[in-house]
Amino acid sequence: MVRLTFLEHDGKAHVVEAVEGETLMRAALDNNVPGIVGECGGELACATCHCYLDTALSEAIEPIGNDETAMLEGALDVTRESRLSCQVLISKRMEGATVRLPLSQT
Amino acid sequence: MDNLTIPAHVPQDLVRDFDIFKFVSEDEDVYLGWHRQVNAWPDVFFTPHAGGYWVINSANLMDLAFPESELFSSKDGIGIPASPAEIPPMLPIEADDPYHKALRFPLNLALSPKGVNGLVSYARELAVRLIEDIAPRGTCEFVHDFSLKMPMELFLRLVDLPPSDREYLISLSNTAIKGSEQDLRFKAMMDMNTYISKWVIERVEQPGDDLLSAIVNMTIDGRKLTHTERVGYMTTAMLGGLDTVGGMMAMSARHLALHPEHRHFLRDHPEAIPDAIEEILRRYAISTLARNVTRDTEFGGVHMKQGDRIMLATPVHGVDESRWDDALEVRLDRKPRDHMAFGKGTHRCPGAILARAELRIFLEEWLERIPDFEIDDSKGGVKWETGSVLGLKALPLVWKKHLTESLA
Repeated sequence: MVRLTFLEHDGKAHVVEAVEGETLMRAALDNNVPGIVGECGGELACATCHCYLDTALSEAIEPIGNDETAMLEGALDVTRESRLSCQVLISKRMEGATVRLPLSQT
Repeated sequence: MDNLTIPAHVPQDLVRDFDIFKFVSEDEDVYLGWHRQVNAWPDVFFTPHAGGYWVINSANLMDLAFPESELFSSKDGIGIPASPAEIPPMLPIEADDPYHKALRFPLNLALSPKGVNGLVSYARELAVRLIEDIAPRGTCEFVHDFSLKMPMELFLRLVDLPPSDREYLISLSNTAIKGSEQDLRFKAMMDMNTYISKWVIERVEQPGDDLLSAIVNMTIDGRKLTHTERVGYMTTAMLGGLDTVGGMMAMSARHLALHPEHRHFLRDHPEAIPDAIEEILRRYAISTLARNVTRDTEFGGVHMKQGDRIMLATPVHGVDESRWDDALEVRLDRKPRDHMAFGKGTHRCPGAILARAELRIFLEEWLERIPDFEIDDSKGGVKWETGSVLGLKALPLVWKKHLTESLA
């Protein structure tokens, strides 16, 4: 298991034990973290699992792909740290990481 | 069922006389019809109507069937019955991955949170305009006065087509999906294609920043789309986004007309509207889709052969008692997870975010202006629409004018 903190936009923290190899989106949904919708179920088709990850960590674990970059165009409040959590697989290197959530997915 | 053939591999005890276009009359609540059938008939049964189909008659099996997009393919048609060859495939829904996924991209982007965000202020303006026109009258026929109009105008805005074409397109799309005879449905579909075709050519030559331009000018695997692909795509986008949202609005309005306690609660607690919408979507899902079995298989304990067709009726899911407690009861705080109103898997409805926004805006603005309303039985009451997209043909409503006089 990998320990992660999902931080809601208002500062509320949700510490979860996530399964290695699953997606960040799945970990959030399975732990009832508010703020990740995952409308399309992880098909990279909706941009409602938007989150922010520290850029260095993001690069180290799973650099953003072209399809993800294209779909991120559809998210709100996108920054350099933006990721779609359905595309980020949980690995040991993420132990203790903080995943920040946007004000709103829709 | 005398003149209908039943394939040899279909066991007689799984055959039922079920015609999706006729299984209840227009005066009967179609969901009660589905509810009876879901909870009394086998989890999978075969109907010889409309070319012969396996009907997936269980929420749990539907959960399994929807994501199986290779076993249950869409490229040879998702219609009931399948469209004849002269009608262009309805893209992207009548396509399989990876082609389908590539086609979906511009649509996904246009209907993404950001895309929908750009439409909500217009949607609200539109809803307010339509409702303020209706409110002082004290009566309306909800379907024609509101639920056919709002989604169509919003769609026309999304694709930048003339609002003056609204009535013509409403009539065509209504016939294409709901026409009582197959010939009428296909004729309306051909007319729709002719209309769309003209605009497709124009936006290829002079693209704008609308969804129609984005779709017709997209590239897929380094090539442009063909004219047939473009027309099939736009026709689907139009039909997919109109009838469905309008149908859900009508179901919501009917439900609230019959349930003053829900109506009052939502008027006093507009923040509860999003959860209420999810519950209404569960209870009143409207779309039915077909798939084509690509190899011999066992599914739900039934032997299916390559080339068989299956029917995935999303209304089944929400009224299955083995899945939902007191399935027919709308509980505004039920917060259903994984209802099937938008499907599941790669073909899941791309318009879900827009649909929810339209429903939310409609409910907020309507309840503020017409807080109390009832079904007007003196005008014939509710007329139900069966078929591959459920809806209401008529929903006459009445309310006390003094409640809305300040708006007049």
